Amino acid sequence: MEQTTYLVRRDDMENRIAELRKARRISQAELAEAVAVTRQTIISLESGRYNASLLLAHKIAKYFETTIEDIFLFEEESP
Amino acid sequence: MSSFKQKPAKWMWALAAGVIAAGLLLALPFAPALLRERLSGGLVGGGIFVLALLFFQRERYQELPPEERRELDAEDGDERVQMIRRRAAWRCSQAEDVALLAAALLYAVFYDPVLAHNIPFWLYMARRLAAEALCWYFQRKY
Repeated sequence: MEQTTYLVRRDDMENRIAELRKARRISQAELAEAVAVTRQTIISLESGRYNASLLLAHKIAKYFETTIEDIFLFEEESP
Repeated sequence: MSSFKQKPAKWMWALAAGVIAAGLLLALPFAPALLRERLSGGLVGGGIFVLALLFFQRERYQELPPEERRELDAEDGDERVQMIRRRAAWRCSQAEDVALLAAALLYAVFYDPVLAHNIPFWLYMARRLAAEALCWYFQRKY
């Protein structure tokens, strides 16, 4: 089965939030509640319209039990 | 506009109650007659109006589904919402600067050319000084 990737880019930053969230079958509302932001912020992050602060990036990484670098990728690091 | 659906903060209730209390205090015989006549009624009326709005706002909030309520509760602590508010405030501040300078120009051309009498100009200067003072304070703080 072909694996879908959900890399979202904004300027020189990409993120894998949607990919990780969907892999864990978590809704946007659940993720928003877990990291104490609105669902609209999760939507904006996933669509690449907004870049998370370091604090929010840390919370998201902690929620997915991974590192910030694994979720938020600079252009030169992205595959 | 989501802000009118939000649960009213405690300070808003306190402010409305404080305005009503101030109006009632000014209505007492020991208050200066000028304040009693000119302020008392307005403060009590205004406070009651704000209180009624707050009750209406609270009712609207309580009628919302739980998910929407959670979303509204999260708005104040949400960094994206705060960023949007900061940007909006900055744009408004810039627009106010332009409006004040335009008003100062019109005042000087059509009303009184003496700079010392130009109220919009001095309002603009006061705003700029306040902004510079706050920048200085925040640069020291952060």
